[in-house]
Amino acid sequence: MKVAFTAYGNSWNEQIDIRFGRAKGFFIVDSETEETEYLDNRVNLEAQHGAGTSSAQMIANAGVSALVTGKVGPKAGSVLKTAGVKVYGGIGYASIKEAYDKFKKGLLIEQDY
Amino acid sequence: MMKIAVASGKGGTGKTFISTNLAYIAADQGSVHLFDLDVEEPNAHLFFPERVRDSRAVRRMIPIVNAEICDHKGICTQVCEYHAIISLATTTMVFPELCHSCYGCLELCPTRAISEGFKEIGKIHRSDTGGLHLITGELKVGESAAPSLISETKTSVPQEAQINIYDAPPGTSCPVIEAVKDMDYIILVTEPTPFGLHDLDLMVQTINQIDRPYGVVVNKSQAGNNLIESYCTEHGIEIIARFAQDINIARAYAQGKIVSAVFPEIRTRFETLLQRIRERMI
Repeated sequence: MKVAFTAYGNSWNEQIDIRFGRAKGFFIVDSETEETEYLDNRVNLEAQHGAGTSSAQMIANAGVSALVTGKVGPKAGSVLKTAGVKVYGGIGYASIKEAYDKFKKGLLIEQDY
Repeated sequence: MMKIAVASGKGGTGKTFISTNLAYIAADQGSVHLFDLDVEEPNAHLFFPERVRDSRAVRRMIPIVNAEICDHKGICTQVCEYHAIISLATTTMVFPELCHSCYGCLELCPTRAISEGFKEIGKIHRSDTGGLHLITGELKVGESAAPSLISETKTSVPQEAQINIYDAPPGTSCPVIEAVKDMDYIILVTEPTPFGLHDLDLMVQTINQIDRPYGVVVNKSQAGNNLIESYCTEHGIEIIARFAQDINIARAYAQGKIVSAVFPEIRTRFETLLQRIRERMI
């Protein structure tokens, strides 16, 4: 399955961006193959309105099943829930590598929206 | 008819003090409409406690998606500047709080799956107090569509008055522009504090863009404090009136009194202010 991380850049060593709607980008890992892809989120980062709902749609359309981030607002949360994307919030400051390890060990708590 | 707006940038400088008193003395000279456009926290009615004559709800369009017709291709999502309509693989979701009622999704949906729904964004109250007609816009808590309600409030009175006074919201963003954009004269109320000066400068920059005549009222002025005077001299802006920091004015105002009705010398100052504005508009 695909796991998305809100990220400051396209590398395992980049920090998690704790913002969701206005995250710099999304670092996506396929947990079976560990192949990665990166979606730039500049279009939403600079949006005047609706960055959350639009980012949520981008994540859903990318076929992501789980999202690891700082915090998701209620509108974006409802889009992700409807799209069946599980949200793991409250990650705090960590690299993507550290966050991914925690995710694989089941140490992150799923948030309900 | 003349239209005068009272704006400030910084909150708490005395917009409502100026606009209620100006409306009060103007009502002796002709018919007056006082519009309270501070729709997120209207308070001019506190000074005219007569019973509300009528209230009406203001509604705006929001799209309603017919799930049986929608094919979730997402044209609506592509055209929505505000990301208020989100198309997923099997569902299309609408977020009324984000919607700006542009009708784009409704017009461009290829399957005609979207129809007009409505949501209430606020109310407009009207009351009469002698020759003065008060029109208040009141935004629903949590709503963000202040400019729409301001626009509706400004145009909600069928008959015209000789003098229209508009109590604008604080700040320098969209709601303020909506309130002041078509005025004959704009009064910028400020106070001699660093924050008052900072926001006055923002407001001056804003009004220079819309090119309407304006002048500054220094409220709560203090002898020896020339903060605002220096700025206005440097930028060639006229100070059209001053009201001194005075505990008696503050006390009467805090009791909900029209200060001009209590203190004759304040009344004279407002009469002079109105006369000056009339002269500036010719």
